Amino acid sequence: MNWLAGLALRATIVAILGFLLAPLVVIVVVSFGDAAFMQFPPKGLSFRWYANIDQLEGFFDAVVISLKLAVLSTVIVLVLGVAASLALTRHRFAGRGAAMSLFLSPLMLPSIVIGIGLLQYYTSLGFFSTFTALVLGHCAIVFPYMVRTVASSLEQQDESVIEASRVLGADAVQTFAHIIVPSIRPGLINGAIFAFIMSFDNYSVSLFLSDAATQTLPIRMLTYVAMAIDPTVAAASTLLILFSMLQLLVAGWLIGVRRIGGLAGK
Amino acid sequence: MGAMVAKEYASVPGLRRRIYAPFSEVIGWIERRPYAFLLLLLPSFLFMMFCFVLPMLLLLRESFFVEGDAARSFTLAQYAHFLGSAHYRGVLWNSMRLALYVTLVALVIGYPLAYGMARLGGRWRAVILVAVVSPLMVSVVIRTFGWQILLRNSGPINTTLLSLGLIDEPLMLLFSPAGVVIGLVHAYLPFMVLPLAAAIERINPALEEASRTLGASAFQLFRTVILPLSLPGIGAGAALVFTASISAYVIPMLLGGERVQVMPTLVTQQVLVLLDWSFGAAIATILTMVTLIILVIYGIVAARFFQRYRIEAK
Repeated sequence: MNWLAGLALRATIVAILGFLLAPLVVIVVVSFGDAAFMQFPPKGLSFRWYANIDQLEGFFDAVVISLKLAVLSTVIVLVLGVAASLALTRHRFAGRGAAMSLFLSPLMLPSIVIGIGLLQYYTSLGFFSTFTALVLGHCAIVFPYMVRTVASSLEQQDESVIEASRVLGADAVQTFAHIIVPSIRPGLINGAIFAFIMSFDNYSVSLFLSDAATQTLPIRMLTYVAMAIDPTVAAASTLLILFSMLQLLVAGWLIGVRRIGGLAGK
Repeated sequence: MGAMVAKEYASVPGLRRRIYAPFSEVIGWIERRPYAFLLLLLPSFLFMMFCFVLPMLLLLRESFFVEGDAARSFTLAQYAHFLGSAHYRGVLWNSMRLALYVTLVALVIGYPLAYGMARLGGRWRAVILVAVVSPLMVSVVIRTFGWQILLRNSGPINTTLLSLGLIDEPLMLLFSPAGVVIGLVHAYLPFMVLPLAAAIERINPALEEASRTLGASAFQLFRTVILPLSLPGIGAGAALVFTASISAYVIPMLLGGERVQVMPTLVTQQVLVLLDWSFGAAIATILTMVTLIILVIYGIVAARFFQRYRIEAK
């Protein structure tokens, strides 16, 4: 009876894992199909859709824009987030809770609402650089994740090591560079990777803020997918899935698989 | 770590220290000012105020105007327009119902995963974690594309069911509420599984052993021990999945098409296509209110009831 329940549990888990991976697997398989339409399972094998990716209008431009956007937002948010987290975790002051709520507040609102609010705001300011607006918008969306990750790793840090460093004569900056940064490194990497992914995959802000010249990858993909006929989009998607898996591998390699779980909680 | 630094400083002859000394003085001076640490907080504070809070307040304000009214007089007309129309009320109701279905389905299929993660241990834990988290790393647009292929009339699900003789004509999965629910469950399952697994992990295994020794069947054990003690996880997961589902745009758009109108697709249409910003702002405010109400209810329930469970669970 006991082992039967265990077996049933394991079988259910395997089935659900299949459900989780199904849409990704189907895209990869379809991308290697031979027919001129998306066929599953494909009858013949072909790589020609990969050669066809440059036929997707603006695909590579969008990749470049999304990468630039993600790197810029990650760097800005990392700097802001580390500074803010230091103040929040190493000092007790009135309004500390309020500041934390302010920084986490984007998590409370539907992301699509944030996109609409930002569009209206930057339009009313007469913003001409949509790229700047995009960077600021992505930073606002990504910031709470960074603060939460960095603040929680700062909280776990051993106070006495910092005190020891100060007693031995290191100033605040030296202590930060030689003691604090190395000990919260996993948190920083975790936060940076997650910030990068959040920005790279964001559609809710980009949908409203990007114009024809600054269309990000998810927005382009949205158009391609809505009009997909042959497996070219599947081929492009497969490359992007590969890129995502690469990020996961890098994250796992840098900070360990177990820690990645901390990324996912909203 | 301390030893490492001490060694490094010892190895630096006086030179670097002497060059650095004035900087060190300045840093020390700044640091000794009361509230110097607020300097660290200031950039983030200004950024969030001017790039997030202010835009959101202006959006809220916009919802009290009427598009094209030069006088910009304050009015509740947009809200009256929304709530007075059976069509718009239907969209709101539709969104909430879909989000509720998604939450329930995610709970049912998330529970075995969370339990496995918390209790099967070792390899299972790692495999489930990776399988649950890795789709999150892939853009939601791509995942939804995969579901589009799977759910089509000529897709693998329908052709398999047809060839097995289980159905006579293809099920309308794509461009139907069912398709949207499937896509949303897939997207937000991790939000259910991770808090749930954390809650199950906190349950003392001795309780399970005790109830087994006392003769409880697997089902009784689940119903009377594990399920009640995992309620905090269920609550957290449900709140996250519900609020995420009701705010989702890409999945209802690609899997629901014209036939499934939800709040995010409605508001996007108003803003980007019809350019009625005031009405769009009102819809956005209503959507925000719904999610905030859910989060507040969750907060109250968690504070009142789950605290007790947490203590018992330990």
